[in-house]
Amino acid sequence: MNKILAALKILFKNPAYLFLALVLASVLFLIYFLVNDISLFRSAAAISGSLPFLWKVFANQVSMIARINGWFNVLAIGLVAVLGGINLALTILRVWRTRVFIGRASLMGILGTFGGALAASCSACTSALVSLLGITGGLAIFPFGGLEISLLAIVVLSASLYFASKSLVELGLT
Amino acid sequence: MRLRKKKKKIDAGKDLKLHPICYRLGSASNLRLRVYPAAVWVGAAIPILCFFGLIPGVFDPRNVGGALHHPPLPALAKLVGWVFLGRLAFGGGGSSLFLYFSGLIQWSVMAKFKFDWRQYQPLYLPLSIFLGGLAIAGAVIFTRGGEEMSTVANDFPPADSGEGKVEVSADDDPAFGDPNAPVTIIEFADYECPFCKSFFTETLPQIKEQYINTGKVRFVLRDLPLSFHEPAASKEAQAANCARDQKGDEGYFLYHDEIFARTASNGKGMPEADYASAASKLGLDVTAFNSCLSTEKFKDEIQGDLAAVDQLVQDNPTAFSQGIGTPTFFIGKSDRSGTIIGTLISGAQPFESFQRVIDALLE
Repeated sequence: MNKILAALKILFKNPAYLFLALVLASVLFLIYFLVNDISLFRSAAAISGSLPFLWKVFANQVSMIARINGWFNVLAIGLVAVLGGINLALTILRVWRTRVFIGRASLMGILGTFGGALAASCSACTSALVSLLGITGGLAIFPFGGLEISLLAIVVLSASLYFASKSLVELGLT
Repeated sequence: MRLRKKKKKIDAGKDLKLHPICYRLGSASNLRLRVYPAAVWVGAAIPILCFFGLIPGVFDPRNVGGALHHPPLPALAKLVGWVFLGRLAFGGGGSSLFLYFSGLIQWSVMAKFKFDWRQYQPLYLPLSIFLGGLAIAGAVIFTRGGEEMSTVANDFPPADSGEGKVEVSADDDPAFGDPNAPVTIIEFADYECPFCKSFFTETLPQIKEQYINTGKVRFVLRDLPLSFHEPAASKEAQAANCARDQKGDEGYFLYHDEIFARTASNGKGMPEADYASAASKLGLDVTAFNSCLSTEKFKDEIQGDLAAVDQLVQDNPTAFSQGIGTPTFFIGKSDRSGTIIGTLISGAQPFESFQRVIDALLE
């Protein structure tokens, strides 16, 4: 825990990395919804390319998923995005300082970040990303509407965060 | 300066704890080459596989069954895909694109920190596979793929606003609103889909108020009961058709409202007793209704809609590269033939999406 706190401390002390983590988290949150409902956004973009309109479609999608699957699902996806953002920022920090991309932390971070993409739901009954695993019906068939995958991604990303912090401490970067 | 000092302190052999897999898979002694050879392979494999997934029309757009409508290239890609990443690469353009760039970034980030050309050795094979894939895909696009592209181009005549359009028939399916309305909306819906229910409760009332009740829009509903919502989805669709059998389109839509009000969605359906009680509430002959439902009188009608959707997807592989789900809408200028050239609205989008398309057509 101390190692994680120490790693987070250097992240939060440095405004550039903090900003990077926030941007990455926001982008991941956006991507998690976009990739799961690309046909919806594609058709919306064909109607109008205006950003306020697309933002409205995005916000509508998030709020509808929250209403149908529960706010916990959206919060879990948000948490996955935040953890993914911190993980990626820590990976960049470590790679930048050591010039080495290495370790299970980086790999787990990537796996967790990819896994997070499976967790977001879509606002249409179709085969979402989950169908790629051979499961039809998207997240609707899961008892908790995909919350299960979010929790799994959170566990993977937390472990990744631990290993990333540990290696930063061991490398004397904290 | 402080950072540089710290960098010098790192002892590659002692400080960096490598996973045993690195030693097993890594062939060179240089530390920088031990950048997770397995991860390098994965990073290289993802763009290759996703590249195949990106080619429009190559894979069955519906994706779910995994059947290929367009042989021969995919045989190799499919094999590679199943072996390595299952369907991960074939999820349609969007997810493939995401994975494609993620894989490229991952690969390039790792490759960036290798300076000795010899250290690129593990990348030779994936790189040659990738380039080979590029060559094959390029050949397909410029030969057989070219024909497909031209078909796609016909399916999407460039409209004023640039949006893609699809030709859809209203068939003889239930409709409400002025039959002479200048604009027609055709919805493909599944009674068990929570997003169809969401459209019904939130967006449809606004469309009704602004466009249908004012005679500007006619609304047609076609069935698309999804397999993972069966048997409830088909049963409800048939029940609504049984109501139509007795009381016409008005009866259909009244029963339609009852279903959405009563169903628990996601295949859970509505309680068995509710079928008859909803019919009774609407003043239908319950005995005739029950008989209609138990004999599956409208099974063929539902199957007909499903076949029409299949055809639609096959005819428009680009428009439905991510498959077709519910709700799906087509909005176009009304035509006496009952067929419209409709703008596609995928999913339960906000009222503003419908408003923009309808207003553009009414201008």
